[in-house]
Amino acid sequence: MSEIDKKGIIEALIFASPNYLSHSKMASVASLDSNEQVGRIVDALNRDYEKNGRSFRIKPIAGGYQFFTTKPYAPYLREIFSEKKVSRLTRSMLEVLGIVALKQPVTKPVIEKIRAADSGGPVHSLLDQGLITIRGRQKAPGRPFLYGTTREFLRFFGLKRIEDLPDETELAGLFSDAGNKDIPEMDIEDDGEKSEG
Amino acid sequence: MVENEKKIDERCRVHLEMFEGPLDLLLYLIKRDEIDIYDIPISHVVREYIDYLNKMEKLDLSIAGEYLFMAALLVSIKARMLLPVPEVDTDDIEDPRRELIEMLVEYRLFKKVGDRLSRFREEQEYLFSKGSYPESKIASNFIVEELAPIDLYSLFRTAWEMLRNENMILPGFDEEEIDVEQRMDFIVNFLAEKKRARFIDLFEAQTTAVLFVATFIALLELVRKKSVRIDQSGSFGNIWLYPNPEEMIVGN
Repeated sequence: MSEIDKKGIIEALIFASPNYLSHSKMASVASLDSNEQVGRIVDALNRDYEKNGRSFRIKPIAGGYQFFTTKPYAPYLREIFSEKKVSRLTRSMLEVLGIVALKQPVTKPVIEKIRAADSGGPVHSLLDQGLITIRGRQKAPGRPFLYGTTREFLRFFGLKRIEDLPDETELAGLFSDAGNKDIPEMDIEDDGEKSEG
Repeated sequence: MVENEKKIDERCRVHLEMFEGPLDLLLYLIKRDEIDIYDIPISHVVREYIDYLNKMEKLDLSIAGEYLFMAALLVSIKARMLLPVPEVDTDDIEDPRRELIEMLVEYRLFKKVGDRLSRFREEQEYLFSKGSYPESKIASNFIVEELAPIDLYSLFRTAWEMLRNENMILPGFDEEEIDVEQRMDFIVNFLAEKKRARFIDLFEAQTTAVLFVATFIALLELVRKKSVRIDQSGSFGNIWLYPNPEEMIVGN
């Protein structure tokens, strides 16, 4: 089977699937040699769309892929899809989310120790919004709940996976205060390649 | 009186809203005074920090607690720094500021991650997925289909808040002992008669917390035994209970 056919298969799968499809599932359906090939094909598809001035791209999100319209079309779409309301999270919720995302599974006492502030309110709000969930209980006195992020969390923020959240300059910032660059924006052309093995 | 406390609470919040906690305030001071986070002039920071606290009138107690705890930590670090340093093996002596620095650096990282999340979300709000569905629809199906911990949690919370909003929760305990099996029998009989009921209908005008919890556990047990079916109409709709006709006989 030629490369072009496989491109079509991947495109069709992502187009037709109502839910997220894993790389491995797509790779096996299109009989690709590796999961990484899915990412390369998606890149090629996105390049085609860009070249032809299409209004959508395929975006890696929450471990799968999904079609999304591009930014310039948002004002037109908002005229109809008003339910896509702009939901703002408070700063405390964002801080707690950051901690849960990078330290999961994590208990409320740990979150509160890092923030040096009461965090019950933001934790409950995040649970209500389905951005974090209870993963279990810690085998420790009081058996506190362990929290983790949900798939909805990735979807809500348009993330491919949790690992995309911190960047190396920031992690390095834990050990040295060497000047850190501005954080690169994640854009729709973001490639599906893994940066390291 | 409770009303009054709430008012004060709100007012203080306005003052403190700028800061998410004592570490946030410290980071603000560090940035404002262009301080090297790894070489904090502790006397200066203690002075500025306490000065700031003084400026904030009438602190909300619980918030004040966190801020005062940090003030105490700062003062204790300052005191330790004033102690004469023994001249032997200076390498072994730990900088009293180390713990504070670690806390600040870690907190600063998560603050940045929070900022980045906020930007990601802003970006995401411009993008529409194929067949964009209203976001709330996803969550509602959860509760009904599968009782994962989070769903159980939201079910309990929803039920509890519903009752509390209606002022149905009585303080204190029941005079007679309440057991779960008794409540299970009650629910089964109740549903056999009514065919359909809301969770809230299982209670008379008012209930104690103990009775509420016992009823909730009884309901879960019945769902597990498939004697009762739970359904929710829409994301924030009522939680309906139905008898499960095939399994209606709960003898033992």
